Amino acid sequence: MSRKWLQQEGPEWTRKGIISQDQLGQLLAYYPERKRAAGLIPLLGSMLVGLGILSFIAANWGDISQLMRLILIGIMIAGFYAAGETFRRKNHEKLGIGLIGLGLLSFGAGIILVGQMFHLQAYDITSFTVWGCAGLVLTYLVPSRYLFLITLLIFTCSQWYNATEFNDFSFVSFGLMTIGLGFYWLRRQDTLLAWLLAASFTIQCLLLVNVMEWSFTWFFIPVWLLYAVFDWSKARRSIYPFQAIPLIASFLHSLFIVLFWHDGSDSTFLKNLAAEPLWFSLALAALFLLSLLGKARSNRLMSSPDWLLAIPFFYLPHGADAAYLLALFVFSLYLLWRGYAEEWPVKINLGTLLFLTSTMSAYGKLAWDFMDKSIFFILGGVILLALGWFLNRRKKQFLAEIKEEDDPHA
Amino acid sequence: MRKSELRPRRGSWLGILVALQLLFLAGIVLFHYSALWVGKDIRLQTVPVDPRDQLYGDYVQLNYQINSVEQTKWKSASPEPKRGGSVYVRLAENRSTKTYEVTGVYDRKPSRSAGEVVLKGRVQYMDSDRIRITYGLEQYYVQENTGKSLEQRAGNLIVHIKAAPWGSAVIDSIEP
Repeated sequence: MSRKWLQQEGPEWTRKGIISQDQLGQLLAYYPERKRAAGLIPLLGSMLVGLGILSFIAANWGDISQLMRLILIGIMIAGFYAAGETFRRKNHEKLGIGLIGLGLLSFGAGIILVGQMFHLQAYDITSFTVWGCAGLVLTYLVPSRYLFLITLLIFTCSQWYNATEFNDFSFVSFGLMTIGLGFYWLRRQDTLLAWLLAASFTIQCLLLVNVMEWSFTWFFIPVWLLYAVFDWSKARRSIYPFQAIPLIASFLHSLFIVLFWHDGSDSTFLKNLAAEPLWFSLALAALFLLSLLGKARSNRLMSSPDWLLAIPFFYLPHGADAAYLLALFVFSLYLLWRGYAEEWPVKINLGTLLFLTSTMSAYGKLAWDFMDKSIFFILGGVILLALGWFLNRRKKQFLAEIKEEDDPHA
Repeated sequence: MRKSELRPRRGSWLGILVALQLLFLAGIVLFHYSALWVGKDIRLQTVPVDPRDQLYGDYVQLNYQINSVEQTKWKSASPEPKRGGSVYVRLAENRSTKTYEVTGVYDRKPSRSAGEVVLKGRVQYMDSDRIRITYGLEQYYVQENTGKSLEQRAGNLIVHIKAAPWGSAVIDSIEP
């Protein structure tokens, strides 16, 4: 696992007589020093070389004939891929993948350069989608987190470009990314990639409702669909980002309403936000059911209160902000409680953060108008400090308890 | 053992993938080169636009006369073109200026007589009496920091376009 940790703690164990010096030696030999840093050097080196070639070509671009430019692009693409594959076969995995990644990037550069050669102006992101597909196939052929990341970035950025530049949303690109990278993820689960994939999915859903000029809250249908689908997954710890991101998005939405909407203010704000009630409620109810069935199947009904954040209070004629505030409080307390119950630090930290956020927004909402500004800040700060201290102390006690349980000899 | 058996196969898949990428680029190139080779040469007049700053890093924004078309030139059954939709624009040469001007805008490819050209465009927006159409010919890439002089003349240029019968159109050159 962690050799560094073993090296740190080991001498203490031998001193206390828990293990002998020999056993420590054996343990250390069991976890050989991984050449992490040494593995990164070729990756960085290949990037520098690639950048050098690119900037050299860019600097002399105008003086190179068109045919020569095309040949150069072709050689660069083929060369990076071939070199990458060669190094991979010789067991230089990292260097190989770094070079293959450069091959993929130069394919994209090739698309852009060819476009410039003919003074082409893109109408849509078809060629970027082709680029993303090349990345997708490559990720399957040469499984690696690095290529997964580049591909995710290509799809996300091209969708962003599509929305901001052409005011368009490409369902093809979105579908290819979700299905292609999603299926890859299912076979090789990884927490970091899950966070990023879920974030990209959510950002693209935001772009979708914006481009289509749908009522904003339709955004929550695909987002809660993402949440509900992962209730059917048997795995638990590796999939949590797919459910955390929808929850965070819903939390932020509620927080936004709490902070920026007052009962007295213009009600068109909420009206513009609100989706058509009948279909939205039906869709939400269907997703809720789907989620509950999934939770029941995998014995996770305890997490049903997550759906608190999905309740569409924005339909209320009055007091939507108060209802959301209440939901925020209940949800963050519930999250804290679950964190302690499940002994899961991520949930505790997130719960703490959300609880502090809810408290501060409630305080801001209720006290801003009645208090002199300096008193407002001082009191707010004191409340935060006290809460932070209390929650931190609770966390420390809790973590100490875990340690004692793990290590009864201490 | 298994891994080494699989390797050559995976390697050849990688080879196919790389070849496809190169083919894709070559395809784009050929499609547009073919227009340069066999396309009909047409001269287009540019007109000034607002804002005046038309130099975007490495390209100059061009605004052609044919970008803005009177609504009366709309020659199809539906009352007006769809925003964002594709249209076919028929051009014919104006004998006095030797530049090409719009004779009609259609939602389907129209027939054309000799001397006429049909360009495919996209409706950007419409106002009370004009349709704004873009053709994908509105950007002219220049070497970095060399676009200033061209930019100053961008409102009054003659641009040579090569238009192939299958709809591909490419900027060939700009008259000095």
